[in-house]
Amino acid sequence: MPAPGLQPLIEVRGLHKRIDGQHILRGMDLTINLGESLAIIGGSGTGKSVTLKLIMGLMSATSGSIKVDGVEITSLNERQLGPHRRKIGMLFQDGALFDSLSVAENVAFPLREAGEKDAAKITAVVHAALDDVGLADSKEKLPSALSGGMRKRAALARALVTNPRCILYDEPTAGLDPIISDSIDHLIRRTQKRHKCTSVVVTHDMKSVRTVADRVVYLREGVVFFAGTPAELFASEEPLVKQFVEGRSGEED
Amino acid sequence: MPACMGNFIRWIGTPLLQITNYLGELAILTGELWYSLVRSRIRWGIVARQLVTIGFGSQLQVIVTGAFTGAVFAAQVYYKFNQLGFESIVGGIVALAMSRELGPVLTALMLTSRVGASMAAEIGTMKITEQVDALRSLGVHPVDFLVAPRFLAMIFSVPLLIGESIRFGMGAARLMVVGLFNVPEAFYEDQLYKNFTLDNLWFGMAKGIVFGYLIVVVCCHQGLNVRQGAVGVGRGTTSAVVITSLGILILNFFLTLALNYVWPVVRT
Repeated sequence: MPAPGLQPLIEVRGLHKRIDGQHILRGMDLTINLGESLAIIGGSGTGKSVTLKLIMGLMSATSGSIKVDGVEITSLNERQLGPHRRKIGMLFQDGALFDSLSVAENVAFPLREAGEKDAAKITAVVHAALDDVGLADSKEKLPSALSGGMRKRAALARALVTNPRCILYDEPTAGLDPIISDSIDHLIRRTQKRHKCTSVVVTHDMKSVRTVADRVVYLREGVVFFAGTPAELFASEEPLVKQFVEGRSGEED
Repeated sequence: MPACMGNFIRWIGTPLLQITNYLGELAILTGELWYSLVRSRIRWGIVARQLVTIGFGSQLQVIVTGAFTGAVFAAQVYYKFNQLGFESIVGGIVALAMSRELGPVLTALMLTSRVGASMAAEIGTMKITEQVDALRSLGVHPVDFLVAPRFLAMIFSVPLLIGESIRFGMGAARLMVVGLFNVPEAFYEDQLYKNFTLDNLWFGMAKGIVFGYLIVVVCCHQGLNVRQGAVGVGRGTTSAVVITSLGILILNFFLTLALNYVWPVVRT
């Protein structure tokens, strides 16, 4: 049951996912509410990125239910998923920009695919989106000429141009230095507030959790092991949660 | 059931299942491709770019292959037929061979190595760098965006490239036979034009279109199913070239038998 006043946007129930014989998700339940910023944390291989791909319909669930905006997506085929996916933006780990297109063409891509033909309107929207993420000067560059942080910013601009109701971030700060990571975290928070969209951020970075999240879930062994606010997470006395938050392996020299 | 019987069934059954599964995947991709061509928006800009890559970009290979194959074939036929005093019919045999077999098959093999390998590698790289997932996340079906434009460009390009290959093959053959071996031009041309018929040309073009379909479907399928990073791209590209080349040669045998009913070799 959602908390009073909160409207669920994504509801995951009893979700199982097996990949190559490995049982990644084992009956996961998760509700993501409209307008909130949720961080999903957990060790490597616990199914954080898989969860995002399942919500986006990029992978099919072994069993269980995923409702997005009230629509059960697990029964939709690839073509039926198209309209559903346009409501959600996704930022991939390395940006996944189309490397044959310039930054501006990458950002314009979703607009053109949505049928927008007015070149002046496309240019204005692209410029505004790139300005939003601080890349107005790099619009003619090819993705190969961008740094990791810039690629993620450009990918975020591409995800934003169609005004999605929700943006899924797959490890947005992975491989970036602390300062760039911090600027990406603030960009995610700013984007969520400015566009009033729901954010789901998969991360390993506890500093990111503090900056971006209203709520945190900790995945362990394919289920939600802990759910609460960042303050509750950092104050938790549960040994396994504490170990993960403090980054202790338990090994000694 | 004895153990050796079980092993035998497994030995036969496993590759049979794999082949059936693979052909099923190609059939599904073909279905998606037709759906895309009939029901989805055609991206003519990408088709135009692919026309340049496939059609214009393959000219040198196709011309060189066609010309040298035509010349070598004409020389070999001349050496034998000259002993029998039949050198005047070399032109007819070259026309028949180039338009019905050598033109379409060699053009398709050239396109497999140049264009098919590039399709598999490009789409495979997009797959492992999550660009294919990015397309899907933007509500774009990968077949609409990656396969359909390549297929259309291939189907437009293949007949023209085959025509070019045949023309240069016959031109080089004429240079050899008339220019070098001094066969009278009138005899050579008489036999050549009797055999260079529209039916023979249709025969070659029909083969070329089937080969073009095979190149696009097999190579795009390999690209879209790449796994395991850079190694996977390498494996996928190699498999695409091997499967397509073998497919062309095997399919050519059956097409030759089948198409001969539609466009038989006429008595000249």
